[in-house]
Amino acid sequence: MTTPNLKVIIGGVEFKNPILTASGTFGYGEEFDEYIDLSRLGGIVTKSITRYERKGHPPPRTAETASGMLNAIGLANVGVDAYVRDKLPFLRNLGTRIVVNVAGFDTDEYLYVIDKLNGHDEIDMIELNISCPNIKGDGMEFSSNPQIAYDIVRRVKEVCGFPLMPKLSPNVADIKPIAKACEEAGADALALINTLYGMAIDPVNWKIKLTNITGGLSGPAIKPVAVAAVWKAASVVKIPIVGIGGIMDYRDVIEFLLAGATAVQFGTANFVQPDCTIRAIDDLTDYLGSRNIEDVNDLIGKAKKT
Amino acid sequence: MPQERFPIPGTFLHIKPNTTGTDPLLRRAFSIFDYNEATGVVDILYKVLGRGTEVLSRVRPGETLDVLGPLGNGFDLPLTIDRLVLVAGGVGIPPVYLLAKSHLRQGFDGGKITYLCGLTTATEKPMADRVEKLPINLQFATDDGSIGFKGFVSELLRARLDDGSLGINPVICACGPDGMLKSVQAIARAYGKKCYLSLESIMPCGVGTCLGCVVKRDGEEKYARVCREGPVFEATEVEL
Repeated sequence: MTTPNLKVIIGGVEFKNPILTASGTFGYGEEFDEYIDLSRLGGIVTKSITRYERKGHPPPRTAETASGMLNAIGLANVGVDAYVRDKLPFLRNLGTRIVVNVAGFDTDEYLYVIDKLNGHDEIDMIELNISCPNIKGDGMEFSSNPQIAYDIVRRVKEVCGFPLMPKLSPNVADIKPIAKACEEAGADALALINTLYGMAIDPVNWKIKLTNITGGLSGPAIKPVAVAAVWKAASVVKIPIVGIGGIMDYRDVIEFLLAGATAVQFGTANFVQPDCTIRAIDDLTDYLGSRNIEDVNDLIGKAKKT
Repeated sequence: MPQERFPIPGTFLHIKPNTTGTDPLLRRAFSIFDYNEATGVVDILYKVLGRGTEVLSRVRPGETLDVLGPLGNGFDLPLTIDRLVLVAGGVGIPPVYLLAKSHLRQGFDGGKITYLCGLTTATEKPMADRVEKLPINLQFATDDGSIGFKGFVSELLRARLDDGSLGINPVICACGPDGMLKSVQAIARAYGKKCYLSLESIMPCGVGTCLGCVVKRDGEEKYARVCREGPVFEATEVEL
């Protein structure tokens, strides 16, 4: 049994394996240092950063639902200046790829944050969170409209010194035109999906469980939605897709790769099992070896119709 | 060997209620109730309230649970304090019980520990069986007066502060429902007594990453993570 190749290339960047951590579920990396060997990860996607520090929404910020959870953290983060000063040094020389998730409430904010990150060679890639509310567009998400998505990706791509990977929302009628618009605007890869809109109410005391009323649904409950989104997006773009949504173990990883993803991100699973990513890397290696599959890339988009 | 493994009172275990499957999905946080140095066995105390504890209650002896911990910052109290006043409401018994036990085993005089235990009614008293075995001053408060003081345990605390039986410099440590902690916090403030609160919160990750379990820092537009900066806070630090 030969050791299979796990390396994948996304936006010209080589990842040692296709297992990354999803933004907002892995802090700034340092929180997990005492639990797992970070150098074994394909990559770390750090928590969304914005121009200024954000405290986030008032609690309760999370609620568990059937095989999933709702969150309305409110993009709590330290702000780009503190990120560069206090968080990036830890991420240097970790031996894994660093993807920085950038959020913004208008175009200027994205451009400002990207400008502050340019030149920091600890960073391998930018994940552009265009699935958060766009104040200027009547509270819509940037990624809910192909033209708006095209415009923001185009503007950011002009100034961004790193490969650019927009992260798309599943809260759309059809993800295909959005994915296509991002590719045409110069995106190097796509990450999908972000969380689904959700809400939960306590039947005993009639209280809405989140202070923010609605939140983002994540966890195994959304996996089929995510697999379908990856499948659809992969049918219209040539750039690599990084699949996200309810991935708990190596079997889920395989499912996303077969649907057309080149890599995946583990999100909510990190809360349940801090070493879920490491287990998945080991299990994926065993799976490929036991089936004499020499290269993980051979799984991409190979789902068969029944 | 087990000697130095004695857990810090107020720290918690993050336990996956089900052995397989994804519903319930997340771990549940439980304060460490007790630790047996000879056997290495850790105890927790819980009430079946939701789906997680319901599933946990069906786990049978011999099954393996997935446990992460101990986590969080517990009580950090020197042995030089004048008097330790522990206030517990219902399933808030564990962390302050372990604190009493920890202080006793380090040689702190049991005569200087007062444990005020609040229950709904006398039928809940078995929860306090272990507390009764400690050589400390234990007093009960029940909502219906079926044992001890009739009324909330916070009112019992106020009565004992008023009658002077807690001395001049008691350090108050409390754990229980939000309403009770709020009252204890207000009383400690009014009487100018040092006070620590062990908070409960929904904790998806338990290790400081998800930012779900935050509590507002008193007087600041900032939040602290209950799982990481807490779960034990000085009462003046947080806004409940």
